[in-house]
Amino acid sequence: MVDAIKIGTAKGPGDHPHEFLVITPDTDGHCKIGEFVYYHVDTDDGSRTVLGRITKRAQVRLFPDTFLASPDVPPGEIAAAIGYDDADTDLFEVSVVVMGYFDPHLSAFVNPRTLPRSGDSVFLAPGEMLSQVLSKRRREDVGSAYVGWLLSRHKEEVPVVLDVNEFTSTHLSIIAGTGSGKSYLAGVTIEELMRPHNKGCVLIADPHGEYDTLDQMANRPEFHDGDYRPKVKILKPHQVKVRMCNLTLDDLRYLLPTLGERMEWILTEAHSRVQRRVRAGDGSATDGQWTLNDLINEIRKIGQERMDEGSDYSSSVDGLLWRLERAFKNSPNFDDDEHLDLNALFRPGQCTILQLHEMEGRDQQAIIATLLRRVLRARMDTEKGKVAEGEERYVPYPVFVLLEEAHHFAPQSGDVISSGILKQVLSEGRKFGVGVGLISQRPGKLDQDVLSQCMTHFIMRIVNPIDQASVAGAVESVGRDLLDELPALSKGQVVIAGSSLNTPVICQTRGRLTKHGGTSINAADRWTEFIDRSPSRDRDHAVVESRTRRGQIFRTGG
Amino acid sequence: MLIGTIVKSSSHISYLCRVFGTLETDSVPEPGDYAFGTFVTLSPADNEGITLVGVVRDTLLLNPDYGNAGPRLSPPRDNAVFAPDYLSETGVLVDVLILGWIVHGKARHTVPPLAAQIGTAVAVMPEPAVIAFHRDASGRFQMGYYPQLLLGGDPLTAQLLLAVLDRLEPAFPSSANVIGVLRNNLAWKARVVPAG
Repeated sequence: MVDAIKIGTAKGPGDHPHEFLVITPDTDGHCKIGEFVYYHVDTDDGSRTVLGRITKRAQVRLFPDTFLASPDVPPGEIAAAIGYDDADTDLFEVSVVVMGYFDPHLSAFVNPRTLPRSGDSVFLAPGEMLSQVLSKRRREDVGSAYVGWLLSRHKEEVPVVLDVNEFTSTHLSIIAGTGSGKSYLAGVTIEELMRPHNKGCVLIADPHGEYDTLDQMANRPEFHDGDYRPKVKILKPHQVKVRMCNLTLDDLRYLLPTLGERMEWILTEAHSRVQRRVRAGDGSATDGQWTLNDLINEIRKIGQERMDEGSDYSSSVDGLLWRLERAFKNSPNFDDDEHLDLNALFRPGQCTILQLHEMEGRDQQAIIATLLRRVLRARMDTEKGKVAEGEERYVPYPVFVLLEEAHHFAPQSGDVISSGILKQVLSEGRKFGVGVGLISQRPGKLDQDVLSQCMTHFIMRIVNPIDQASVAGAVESVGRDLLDELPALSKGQVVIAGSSLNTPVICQTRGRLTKHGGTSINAADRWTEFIDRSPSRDRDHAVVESRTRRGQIFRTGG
Repeated sequence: MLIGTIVKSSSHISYLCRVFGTLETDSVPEPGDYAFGTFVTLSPADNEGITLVGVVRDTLLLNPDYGNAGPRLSPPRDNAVFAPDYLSETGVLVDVLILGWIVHGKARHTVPPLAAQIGTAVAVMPEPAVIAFHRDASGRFQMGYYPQLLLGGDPLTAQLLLAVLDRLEPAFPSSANVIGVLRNNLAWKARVVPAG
């Protein structure tokens, strides 16, 4: 049994009812912001160990400014010269927010509503205690995701283990400024989902093509268990297919911008007719599906019908056809027949990576919207017993979809086609086992409703005040004290809050088991490498070009 | 060298010392012996080996004849013959502030437990003893009475401390930077702030 470390003495109540102040010399540097401490309180059920978190720290004994006048003279030396020769000059007042005592039956903290009395001792919470109460799961348990350790403690002393069931059902957000390690953390999370104790069913929408290194999971022993090997399926941009008949009228409108009123009417009518024919099964639409040509033929028919009635719609018809052909005729992603089979995309033990980096923004949004719509419908129908095994829409297991650059799919300003279905998944997905993870470096640009519906948040370094305000407004599970820490976080350090843990923590992300694919390009090295590798004639060419511009070799004109 | 005896106190650490006159000693102290900032020692009787260490922080002149503008039966020059004790009532008082004490050779920069007594002799502290009084156990410069003096609020204190620091600096070359910071702070408070 480790001796309790006494860190200070309770001074009295703080600014808020659930806050108290502690005076401490903090000689061993235990009293960091975010650190956990405890005190004892007597309740009707006996003595309780009440846990609290340090939220503020202020020095109450400072050297006079004049002692700091010379950088060469330590102020302690001056203090010693005039009679104060105690080496420990520091004295701090720290604010502690009461979390409560952990009730194992409730699996939650219960606030005793009793602060320590003035003069009561306050102790540092031992790592063993924190490991038991902070996380809902133990490391390597089924449904656990070990993402790092408590930042205020030694490496791996207090592991931070998330409850996978929570964040894959009530959704996850990873919010961070650029370069603070959000893709790295997402990679860690995916690794945990694919470990043998979880065997997750994950799809990643990867607009930058930086998750392909996850395919190393298949060959690493940490992911092996008996015959189990996680499968990583990478779909290149040209392999991402959406069948035309899966596009809704809204999708079509979205992908065909600047439609005039008459064009809109023709498109609506034509789409309605092909849908009716599919439902009627009159043979003009094969296999219950319609094609781009079916839609084009309907549009031409409508134009002819209007012409027969004496109205000339030919220019609108031509304009609409031109737009349809430009958008879909030679598109590598929209096809009459091929599409992404849900059973091939979503399987337990499989991580599917959709690489979207060579696509237009609107195409990306329409593809993700279509995919989310299909998988949500499939999960609803499967859960309600409307589809049977063997059908494409039969998906009898929960799925988790991770969206990089989420602000692109659900922006705060403007309505994009993926916003609506994303909101629907966030609000209804929990019941049907469709979880979403949103990653964004601009929370200020992300729809606040979308962000606030994620129940687990990973928040990394954010400096931009607008983004900070957005997070503060949308993320209710994180206290102001932790949000204040955001600009000061270093790379890999993350505030984790929400339903996947028993209390918010500041965590150091663990190392990746697979190589991280989202590293920045070293521009200077790449430039030098290019010049060093270039044939000498290219370098000479560069010199001639340069001299030409300065008029040293050729001079043209008057 | 003895300069006088304690005749009055205004607190546990503040004493008035009457400087010896011509009728009290063969070697009358010169003004330079009890100048502003002079370190002195007081050795009370039954002192349990304690010597008090003080500093002259003020000088007062005693003149019973001051304000006596009326006629006298004898002129002042005759008083030297007929009433020499009357003349010796004029004198010099110095205000001695106790800074610390020495017990068994160890310097303490705190308030001494014992007070001086009426009649306690006041002696000039030799320069080596002054330096030793400001050297701590590890040989470094110490001036533990510095804050206590500043707390008194006496307008002469800053000047007194400045004079002491100037006097001690050559004896503590390794602590010159510390003394420099203390002296600069004092100089700012004593010279710049009042003029601002």
